[in-house]
Amino acid sequence: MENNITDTFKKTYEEYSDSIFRFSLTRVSDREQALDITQETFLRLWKTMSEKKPIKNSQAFLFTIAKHLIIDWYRKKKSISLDQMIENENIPFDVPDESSFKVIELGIEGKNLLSKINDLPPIYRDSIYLRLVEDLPPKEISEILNVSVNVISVRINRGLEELKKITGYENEKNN
Amino acid sequence: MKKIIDMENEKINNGIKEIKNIKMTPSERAAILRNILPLSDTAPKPIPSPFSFYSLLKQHSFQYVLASLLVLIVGGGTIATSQKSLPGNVLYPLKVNFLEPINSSLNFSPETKAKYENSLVKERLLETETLARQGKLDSAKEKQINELLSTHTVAFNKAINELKKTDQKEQITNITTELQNQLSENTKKIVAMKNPNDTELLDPTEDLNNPKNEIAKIDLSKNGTDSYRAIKDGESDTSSATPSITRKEEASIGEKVFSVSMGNPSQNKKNMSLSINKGLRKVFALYKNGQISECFENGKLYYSASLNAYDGEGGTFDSLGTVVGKYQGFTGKYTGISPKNCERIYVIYPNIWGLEGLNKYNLE
Repeated sequence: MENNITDTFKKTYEEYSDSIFRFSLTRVSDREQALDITQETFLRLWKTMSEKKPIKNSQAFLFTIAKHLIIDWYRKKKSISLDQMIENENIPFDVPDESSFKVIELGIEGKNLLSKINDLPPIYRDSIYLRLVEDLPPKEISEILNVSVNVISVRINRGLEELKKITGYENEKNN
Repeated sequence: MKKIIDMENEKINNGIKEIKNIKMTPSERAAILRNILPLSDTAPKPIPSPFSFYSLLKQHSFQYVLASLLVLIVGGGTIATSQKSLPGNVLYPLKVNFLEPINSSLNFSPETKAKYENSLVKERLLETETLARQGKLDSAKEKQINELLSTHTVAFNKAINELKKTDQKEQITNITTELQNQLSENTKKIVAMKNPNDTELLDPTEDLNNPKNEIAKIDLSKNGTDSYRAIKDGESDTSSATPSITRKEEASIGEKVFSVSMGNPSQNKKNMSLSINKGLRKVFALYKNGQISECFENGKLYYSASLNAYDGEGGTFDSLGTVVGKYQGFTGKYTGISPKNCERIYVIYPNIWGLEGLNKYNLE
């Protein structure tokens, strides 16, 4: 039984650790901090699994934990009003600096896209990121952000329209 | 137009691809996993060698070999002494944990095995009698004896079941009758020893031989092939029924009642349901035109009864027939004890509840 839990945990870790790390790094813009958040996120998953508490969706669980840890990190490090941040869902996306990349540098188009996602109205940021980068379906995004699936679908559609506008693609099309 | 859309997709897709390339290095990934998993107790534990001394010591077969060697080394004097030992004696564990199991394993036919287990039951009863005579029978020893009786009964029933397959009804009847007689005789002796001045006690031998009495009895059933069955339970789960002698004290009344029960001491339900019980007769006299249930609440036996009438009254009685709770049919209110864990034992027929008639203990 214990071995089953370990195996399941390892499998989940292999599958989602990079996603959680990426999600963290693009927000805190500090590799060591992103690693810490990733470790803490999976540690909480492990504890939950060890206590045999049911986990409906591991991926949603992990992103939810990571999101809360990032909020905690901002509360400690940044002079942003937490209440305001939570109220506005205003967890900014940072374009990590070069020192944060070890193996593969983030190209110009990646940097540009992250920057433009960060320029989106706060309400669309997480939905767009999770949909575009992590390929999560609206249902899972709704579980992570704790809003209805319909609301997420609307946010994705409107966020994409907005993203096209601020990236200038909309203008290119019209021209 | 199409070209612009493609370019748009390409730019976004390239950006997504680049973001997706943000990953941990393999060493970072491995380090985090290492940091988390050592916190668990799931790290593979070393498997002890099956040939180490401690591993051998844990094996039952080795324990028996060791015990046999010990018996041989220590010699016949100790064996003889241990065979006479009583619960509480240092040699008693040697007798019941080693010698008797070894002897039991040497009986190969179901008949000899049943007889041997039967003799062990007798032995336990004799030990109880001896301890009672010496005034050394305390609850710990009673518990130990009951546990052993439970073991013997399971083995006895297993042997009897094997014997049934051979259709040797006569042998089965002989063995079970012998045990029944032994049980009743010992019970009677112990009751007499423990309560020499108590004339209120029922004669256990009489009760055992009276099929209509609500005392412990051994069910020889129609063909005389079943044994050790707790009649009260009405089930064929013979493995859980154990003949034993237990002591009950009704502190509130001040009357000590020894009873023969057919269950493990922890199985209060079985013990108590088979105990000497005059209360049921009292309840039956009052609620003959109604229904009676047998209930167990906090380890105590109660009878719950109600009359066969709309808005009829009802009541709860303890094992001595004293009223401990009342039910008013027209208000639907209960006062006093209202046990929940009940089983019907008597229902008059016809009745207002639409139930079938029932008289589990042939009350009359």
